[in-house]
Amino acid sequence: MTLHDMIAADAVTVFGNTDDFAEVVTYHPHRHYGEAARSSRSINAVVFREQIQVLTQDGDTVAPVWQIHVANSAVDGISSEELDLGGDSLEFPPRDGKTAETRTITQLVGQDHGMLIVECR
Amino acid sequence: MPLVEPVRPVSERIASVLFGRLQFLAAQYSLYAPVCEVIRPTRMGGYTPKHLQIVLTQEAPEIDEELGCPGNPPATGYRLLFNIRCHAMPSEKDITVIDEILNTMAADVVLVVCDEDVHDQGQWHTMNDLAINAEFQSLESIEPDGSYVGVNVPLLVTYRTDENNPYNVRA
Repeated sequence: MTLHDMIAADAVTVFGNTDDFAEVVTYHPHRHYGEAARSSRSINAVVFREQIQVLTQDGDTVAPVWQIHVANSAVDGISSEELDLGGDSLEFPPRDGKTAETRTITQLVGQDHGMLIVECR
Repeated sequence: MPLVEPVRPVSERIASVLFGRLQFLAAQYSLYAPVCEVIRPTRMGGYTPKHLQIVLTQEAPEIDEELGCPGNPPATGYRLLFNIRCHAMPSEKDITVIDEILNTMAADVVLVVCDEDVHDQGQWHTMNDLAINAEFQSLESIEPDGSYVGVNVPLLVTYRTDENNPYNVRA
């Protein structure tokens, strides 16, 4: 196994392990007009919650954002190929212990062969 | 008129009128750009960005010295700027020109706010007889940051209240 393969595997077995860092969230893929529907699915993700940011697009409003790390995988996470930054969303508790809410994936903050870092608002 | 109307200040009643008119956009008013929702944000936002979404915010009302008038009590004129923010976040696979979407959303906002069929009290610019005037300002692009894009349609509303009672409309 190459280092490349090991890093990709660690994304699932270490970071995506609910006994270590991750929790279960629901990925809701957007259905583009004329396309076949893609089913929602449960995936493991590391959620960094409620990082307050000033959002200049909305007139310097202050709002929470969530940064979420998932495996770059169409099975265990979200693959960079399938991700659609025009409607895909994730469902997770906005604060630990609260009921899950659906939040739109607004940005792809970072990516490599092993993981994706996405921002939700 | 609902009983709750008098217990809200004029500024909030104007905001409610505007919000009510904009909500027609989420009720199939426009077939080309059907708005998914119209939002007035909470302190922490309280919404998640979506395609064809409208977010209504406002600036703090400014006193307009020229619109004040003497009397007992005297009246104070205010200028209140509303920002009607049209958000577009089409699918990456959508080949529609983004400016076409934004042009249509901005036009629909103006149309619905001024539409005589949407409101039946007075002329559109009096905001159901609560304001002296309302006029749209120059459109502003919402700076893209890699998430959604949009256009802001500012609406400046001027109104007058009793100097000592912002709940009471003065002609």
